[in-house]
Amino acid sequence: MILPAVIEKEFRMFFRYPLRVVSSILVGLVFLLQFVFFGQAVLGGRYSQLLATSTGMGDYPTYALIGYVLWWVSVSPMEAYVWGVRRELQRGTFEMNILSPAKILELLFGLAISWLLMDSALMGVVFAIGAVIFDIPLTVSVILKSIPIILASLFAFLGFGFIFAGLVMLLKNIGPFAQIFEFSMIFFSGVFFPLSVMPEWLVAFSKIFPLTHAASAVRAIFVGKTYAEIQGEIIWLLFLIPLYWMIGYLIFKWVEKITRVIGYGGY
Amino acid sequence: MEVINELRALYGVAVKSWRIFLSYKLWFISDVMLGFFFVGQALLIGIGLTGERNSPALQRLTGYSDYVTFAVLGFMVLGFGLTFISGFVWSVVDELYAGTLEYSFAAPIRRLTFFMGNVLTRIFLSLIYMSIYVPLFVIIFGVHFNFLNFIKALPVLFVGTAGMIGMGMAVAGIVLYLKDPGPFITILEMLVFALSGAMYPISILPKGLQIMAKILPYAPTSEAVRKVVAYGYEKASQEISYLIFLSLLYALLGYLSYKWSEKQAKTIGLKSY
Repeated sequence: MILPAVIEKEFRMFFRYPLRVVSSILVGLVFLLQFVFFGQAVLGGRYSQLLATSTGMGDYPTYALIGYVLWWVSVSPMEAYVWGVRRELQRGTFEMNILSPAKILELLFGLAISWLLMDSALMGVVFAIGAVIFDIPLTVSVILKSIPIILASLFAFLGFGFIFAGLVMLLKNIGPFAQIFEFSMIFFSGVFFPLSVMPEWLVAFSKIFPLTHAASAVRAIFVGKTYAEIQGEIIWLLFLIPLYWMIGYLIFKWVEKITRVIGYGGY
Repeated sequence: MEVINELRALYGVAVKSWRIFLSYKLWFISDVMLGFFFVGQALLIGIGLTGERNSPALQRLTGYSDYVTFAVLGFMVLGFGLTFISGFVWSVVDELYAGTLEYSFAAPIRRLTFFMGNVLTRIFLSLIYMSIYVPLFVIIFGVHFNFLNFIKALPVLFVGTAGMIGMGMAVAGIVLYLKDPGPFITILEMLVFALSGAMYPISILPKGLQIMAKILPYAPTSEAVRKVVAYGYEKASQEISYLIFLSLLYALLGYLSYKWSEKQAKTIGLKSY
């Protein structure tokens, strides 16, 4: 049972340093507060009629909180592949793990799942603190209705991040590139502002990111919409899940073939 | 002769730090992009929420109606201010993790030279970033501030710098004691970030956080710089007086606390990996 072992190892390493957990939560919170407080200072309050007209949700803190928490979780598998693999490369343990009887795919997948679970837990805490700070009304029914959408989103995020699993093995240090890409996602998916302010072609481009649909669907549920009313977003999500898994797998297999010849990027 | 040797050591540390940075060139692009990310966000959030380029609500709070200019000034002061705390602290942490701190501290140079060499590189980088940001922000985001007033505000920024250096020294002293200082520094940097008033006026924070923001040297520096740029020195005299007092206090406390902790470290040793 390789998968649970990898997940357990990652959890132990992360929670071994409680101060790291605290600092991760604080980083998450401060980043959020910057933009929400900025929005409120510009608005002179928390409600924007313009935001309500373009997205259906006028309460800015709720809008930003949902988008932000989902963004953080969405980039988690990507981070796992980029930094998790790099960490093993730096420590010199990557080659040894490759030589073990475990499948490399299983090792990497375990890494991504564990980071996704850890970040989901951290963001759960950030969401709860954010809901208290900004006095966001939450009901059990809204939370329960959001869960299936969030689960589908997690599958989509895992597939999307999988693309990076191959890239990181081939290209040694793609951290800065990943960071640029992660921040770009905030723009493309309308995390802190409505996509209506972007040019039309960019709005069309944003559809290829699972985060765009996940954030839109969860926000819609928070304003009381039914699944039927957001079926467009749900269909997009369900379409993107197999698509990204397939693309990620094909890239990975291609890179694996190349790295068998030229070797892994070591340190 | 001793001064020349110390200056050569300072140059050596700065060059080493610069070479390490240059060996990962993509980080430079990523760092520059970060500035565009923050300012771009500010612009799009403002337009997405108000549909306008100016905010009457922000003007009532700060005197600035152009929220992008407000954010740009805050971002630049914060970026410059973090240079010192990062230069002091990460120089210790990076060497701690690499296992070379004991060697660097055993070298026949003053420890302050070691820190200042790292800080120098970061200041140089900070100036490069600013020389990229200022013209591009003006062209891309239509940021408009009186450049002459911005130059005039530089002495205020330098006054704040004394306090920021003091804080960096105090924190460097604490870091010498910690076994795993990474999370502590991240927490500290995040607190500084949240309480710097870079993106929003600190008057919208809860009372307790406002007091904390006023105690740290970052928000008072941002406020004084913004006021000088917008209204000139005369109207910013209150903010400048407070900043002078705070900076002197931090410079003194920083120096004393670092000296004390260094003395302690000589007795009980440095934490290493």
